[in-house]
Amino acid sequence: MNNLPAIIPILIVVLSAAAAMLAEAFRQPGERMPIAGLGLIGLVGAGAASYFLWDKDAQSFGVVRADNFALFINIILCIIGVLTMVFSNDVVEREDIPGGEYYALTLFAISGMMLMVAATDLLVIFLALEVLSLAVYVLTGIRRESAEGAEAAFKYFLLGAFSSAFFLYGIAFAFTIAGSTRLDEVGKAMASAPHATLAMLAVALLAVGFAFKISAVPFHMWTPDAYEGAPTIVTAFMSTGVKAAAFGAFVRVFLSTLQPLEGHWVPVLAVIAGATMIVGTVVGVLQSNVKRMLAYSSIAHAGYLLLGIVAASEDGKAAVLFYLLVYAVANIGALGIVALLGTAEHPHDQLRDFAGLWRARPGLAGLMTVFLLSLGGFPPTAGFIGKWYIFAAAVRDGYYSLAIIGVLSSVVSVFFYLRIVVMMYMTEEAAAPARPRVSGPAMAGLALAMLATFYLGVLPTRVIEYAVESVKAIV
Amino acid sequence: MHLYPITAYHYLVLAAALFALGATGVMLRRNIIILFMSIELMLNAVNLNLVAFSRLNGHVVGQVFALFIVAVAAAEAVVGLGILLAFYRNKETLNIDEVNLLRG
Amino acid sequence: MLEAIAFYGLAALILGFGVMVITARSAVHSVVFLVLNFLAVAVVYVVLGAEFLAVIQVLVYAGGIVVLYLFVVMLVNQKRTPEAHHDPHRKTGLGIMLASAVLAEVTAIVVYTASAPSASPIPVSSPVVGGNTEQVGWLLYTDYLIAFEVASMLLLAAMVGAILFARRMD
Repeated sequence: MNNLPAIIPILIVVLSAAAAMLAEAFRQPGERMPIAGLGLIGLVGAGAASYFLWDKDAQSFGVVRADNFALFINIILCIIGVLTMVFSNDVVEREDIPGGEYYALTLFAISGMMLMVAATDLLVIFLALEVLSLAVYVLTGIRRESAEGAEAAFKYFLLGAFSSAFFLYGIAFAFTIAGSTRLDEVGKAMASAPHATLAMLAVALLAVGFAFKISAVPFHMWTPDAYEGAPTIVTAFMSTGVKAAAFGAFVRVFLSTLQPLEGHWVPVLAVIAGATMIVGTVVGVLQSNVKRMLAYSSIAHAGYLLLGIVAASEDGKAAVLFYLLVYAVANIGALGIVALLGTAEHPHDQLRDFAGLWRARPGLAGLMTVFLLSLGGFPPTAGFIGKWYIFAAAVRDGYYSLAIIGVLSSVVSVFFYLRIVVMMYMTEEAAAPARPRVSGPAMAGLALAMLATFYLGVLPTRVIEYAVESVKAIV
Repeated sequence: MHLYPITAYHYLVLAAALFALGATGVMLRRNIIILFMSIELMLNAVNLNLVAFSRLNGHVVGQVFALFIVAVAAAEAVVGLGILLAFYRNKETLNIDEVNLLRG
Repeated sequence: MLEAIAFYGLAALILGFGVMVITARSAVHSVVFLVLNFLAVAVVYVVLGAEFLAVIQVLVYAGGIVVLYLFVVMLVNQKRTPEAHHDPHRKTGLGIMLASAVLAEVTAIVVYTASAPSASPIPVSSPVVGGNTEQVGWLLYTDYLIAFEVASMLLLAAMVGAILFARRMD
């Protein structure tokens, strides 16, 4: 049996991380090095490898399985990674971020994310989660002279380490029941469930761990602070990448391994989904900092995605995958624009900073509008199709009240996305420091994200077919 | 459950008590270093749980698992203390109640 | 009988030192109690026949991690004790309630499970003489090879992060 193919995409990303570290080590002080390019090569390679592995169902040592589900999320992660690299090239030097460490840690985080989704062993899922979490904690505080950054990293780390202890205790109980950490063994043991109480304890603790990572209410407290304090480019990366990886593993563990205990966890997750949508939207309306506002918006989106897990039909699972892609493209686009307009002294993250952007930078204002409309769920953007698909799956499964909460919260959330749009178009520019130039590659990345948003909104059938095919791996 | 003879379940209860003790520490203390140490207690409780069960099942997988947790604890401690140093340089305090720059 | 005495003695030590870690006035005292707690846990590992893990526990935890904590306690030479500042908004009562709820719940569930008829008491057999290091090593490099590699990646990422934060600012 050949163990290598299943881990090739992950290996490529790890190698590019190592290359980034080496490049930094041999860099002369003051010399500029295109480290982002190394990352770009690695990510494109990993994406291509994922494409070639499609339908192969390669496995490695029984703990990593590159099935279509993992590969679909791999490709989402590669898109997130490529856009992050393209934007970083503009931002890193301007924001005083140490380049070598930044790129190496970002690539390590991406490899952890890919592994977390492909792993079929709770121990490997946990280790991958730790790789990505530790890298992201450090990235949050990577600007050491920024007090906000240090505080954000500290809060994120403390709550993250606390929640991963709970997650770990849950794995230990699952291991206690099954005598193994392999997902299939755990699933079998759960199905026969001789120690029902221990099984419930395991499920509850695992759910706490996942709920923290996807920032679901009431485990969302770290999200606004971490997203606001981190450099904007890191916020863009973690709000999309961590969510995609955590949701991937969440779907795999809960909808296949813990499926037998569905009766116990579905009602709890349904309540959490409702609360997450409401809190994310209602508190988001009150924010005046754009990063904080988008943090609450990402909490609300975690609620919509949870709704897809609760409505665990084939459609529900495929809707989660599709929505992850839609959300990733729009959110990294919007936060990418905030990052590209900011500098270390002037982060460009207050609502009033966007005043008159239409006059000064019509292209960027237009792109921002598209991404915000997609997040708000307007046709003909991708957000509309994504939300419609999730809510339809929920209604088909009989979760009417949750679907209504979802629709209402989308309507309310439109209000705060439109606040930014109104600011850009209808307000005169205040006296503010000049906004930095945006380079060609970054513009190209934004344009691609916009094309993807329209493509997924107008012609979604093909991608939805792929999503439906990928979730067949999760039974 | 009887007090005697000692079974693996006795160890599970011990681990649960240690875990809860660590969780209590995280929720009640203000000194950040002691908060981190409380998390170490929680990880130790998980290890105790795993080793006791590996004994019960008669194979060593639980011990291998525990080894990985030791590695994770080391990595977490290193990063956590690094972040703590960066935080201290900026704020000159280790009181969790003074973590207050970011409020919405 | 001997085992029961050992278990209850060690359990008392572990929990006692644990309580002292979270109640100690100063961080230095906490660190010392943490070492003692780790050592007591290591003895439990020996009783349970996990000698290799016991050695690792002493080397990595007591020898490495705790020394790191001590260094940091010394580095952040505090001008005033962190406990001195009281936040009027801090809900200590709520914290105590939550913590005791967690404690009660976890203990109740485990005790309930253990006393359930399905879980007949399984005596812990006496440890194998000579240890199981070979078995542990065998598993590490076969079934858990991927996990082993990921752990090395984790340590590398942690190292990059630690150097980044601890380096002198220039």
